[in-house]
Amino acid sequence: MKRVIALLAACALMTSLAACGSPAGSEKNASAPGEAKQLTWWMPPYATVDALDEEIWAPVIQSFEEKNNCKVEFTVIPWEGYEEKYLTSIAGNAGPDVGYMYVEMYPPFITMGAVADVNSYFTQEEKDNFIAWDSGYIMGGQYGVPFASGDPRVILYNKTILDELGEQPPKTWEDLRRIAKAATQDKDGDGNIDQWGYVTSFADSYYGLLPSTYYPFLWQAGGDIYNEAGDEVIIDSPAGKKSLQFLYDLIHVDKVVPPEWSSVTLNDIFVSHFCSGKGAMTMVSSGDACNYLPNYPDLEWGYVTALEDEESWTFAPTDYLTLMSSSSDPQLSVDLIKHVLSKEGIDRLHEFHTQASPRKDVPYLGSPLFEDAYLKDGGKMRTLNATLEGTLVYDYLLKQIQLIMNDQISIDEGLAEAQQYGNQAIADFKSRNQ
Amino acid sequence: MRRNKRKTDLTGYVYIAPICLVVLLMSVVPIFISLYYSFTNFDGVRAPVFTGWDNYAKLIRDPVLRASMINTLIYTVVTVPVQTVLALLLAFWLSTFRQGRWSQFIRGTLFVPVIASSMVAGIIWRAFMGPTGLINEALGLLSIPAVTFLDINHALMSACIVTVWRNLGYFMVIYFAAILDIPKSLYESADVEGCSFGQKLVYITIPLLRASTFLIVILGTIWSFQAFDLVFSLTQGGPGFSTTTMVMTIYNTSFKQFNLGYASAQAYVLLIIIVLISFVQTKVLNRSGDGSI
Repeated sequence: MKRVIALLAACALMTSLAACGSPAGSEKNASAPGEAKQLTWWMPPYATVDALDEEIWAPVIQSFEEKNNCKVEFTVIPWEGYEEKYLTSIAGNAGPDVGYMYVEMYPPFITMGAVADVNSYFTQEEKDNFIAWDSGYIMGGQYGVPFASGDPRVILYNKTILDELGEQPPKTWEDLRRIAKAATQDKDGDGNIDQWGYVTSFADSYYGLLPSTYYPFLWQAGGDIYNEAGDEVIIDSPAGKKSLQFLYDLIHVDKVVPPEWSSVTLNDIFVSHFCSGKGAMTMVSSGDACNYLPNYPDLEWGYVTALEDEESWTFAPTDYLTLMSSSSDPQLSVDLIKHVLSKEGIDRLHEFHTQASPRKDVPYLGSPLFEDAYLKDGGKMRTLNATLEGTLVYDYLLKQIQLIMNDQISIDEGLAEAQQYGNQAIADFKSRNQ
Repeated sequence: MRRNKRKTDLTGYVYIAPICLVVLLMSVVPIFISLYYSFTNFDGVRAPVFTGWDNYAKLIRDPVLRASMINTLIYTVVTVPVQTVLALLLAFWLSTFRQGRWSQFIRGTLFVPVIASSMVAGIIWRAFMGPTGLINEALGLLSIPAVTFLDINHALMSACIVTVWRNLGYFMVIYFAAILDIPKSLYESADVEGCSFGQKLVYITIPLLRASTFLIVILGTIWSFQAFDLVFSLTQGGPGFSTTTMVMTIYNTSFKQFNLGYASAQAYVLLIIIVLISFVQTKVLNRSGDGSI
């Protein structure tokens, strides 16, 4: 009898273990007839804490739910591991209906068929109302609906230091170099330099560093990382070498960059050297400038949108809302995207976060500090194109630049290696996805 | 009688069946599935397509994997001997106090890093090692110039130091327990013979701790080859590739490049390296003994 009970107990345990799995054939977000439909919407953090992001979007979501008799599950996905979260969730059939993506993210997800073309869901009038609608046309489809346009990288300068030197704000590379050399000084006479000409860093491990340290210089020199089609790396070019040589010389020849450039992140060195008045110039995102500079009311500063060399460009990203292919209700999901990007949604976001509106019928709502950059210098802003193996290539390029700046390899070697690696990665990608 | 024994055996098997099933599904099956994936172009979403030896051929010409293998080897070669020797010396020194209050306090203090979260430990050390961090502030007080612990030239050694700090307490406790098992009479005899501290360590303690040393070296090596969270939180693998470990490369290949097929091939290379090194270590550590550990 004891053995029978023991056998039954063991069988019960096994059954309960089996029951822990999800039932076969269960569908994501499936709702029973008559029940309110459910959508999931993923966003990166715009506020400093997740709770505040939920607070930002709560009234927007509520009004959408009331209009459409549905339920929207809103989730903030941290930037750390952002792409990984999408991949693992999509692989597990647990991805969102509506996601938020930046341009480098798209190619692999388009190749996998994980994102959907939204072109047919928008009228021509709606499309025309977006400032950068065409930028969401990627790899043969309209996969992105522009959400965040702007946040350009700008050259900030310390007015006090430039006035002391009798200098005007820099316009060209040569201006920047001349001012940086003159501004690098031992102010307190202790034999150590304590005021630096140009504040930058190559210590970050994330390739998101490059838009604030390298891309603008590369573009200004007339170069690019990829060809126009986005399927070949062309960084090993005269412009690539010239721009890196310029930055290398600022660090090693002119010695106008604080020595912490090799070990302190850009954000930290910006705060410790520029914000504190110990740096004459730097390049950061206008968003970071808006976040940090108000904390330093004594600092008198100005900005230049883009320097000039062969051309005049700076980096300004556009991020997108995206309809996921696995959406349980594509039409309702697109309606959610339109609702979020309605005047109501944009106004709500701007109560908490300053950024330029993606719509033409909504006036400029970004920071007044950088209004001119948008209104006068909009033509100098560009972003990365959607490219094959973009994240891999940008990451590898960053590592090569770090090796170059640390004198581990030459500029020629580093760029040749980055180009060879990138083109091999693209060939492998094409081979895998034939 | 025989029939009853068979029934008893069957009941036992039924009892262990659930956990066997879990181990089978969570550990054994994935090993074979990833072997299969290593011969495919699996990206995590679409059905994998067989690509033959392509992924293994790519391993040979992958500069990132090569750099991470070199880093992992250096990291292992530095951390394993240092943490083993330090743990032994500390345990031997603490054993001289036996169960004294100071011994307990020091053991407890050294064990704290073991139970601390690796991610938190890495972040705290990153703050300590920064240009204006605690360590450089302390060096400044001694008029020693600041050290850029986390730049491309020093980051790997900094990661080694933090790893030794983290593992030391665990290995020290293993040695300490083993030392307490060594009969006191051996040390008393040595005292009578006039042996020094060093002689007792070399001729009594170390030979009798061979089993513990074997465990510590093997564990330390495997942990070093699996290094990820602590190093990642300290340096994120940079600057450049200076602290990118093999597991970090596998992680990046899987979840940043969405190339799970190639990542599986990389993981198999790591598995083979760990098995080979563990095998060699077993042979070497057993060579001078009687074969039992």
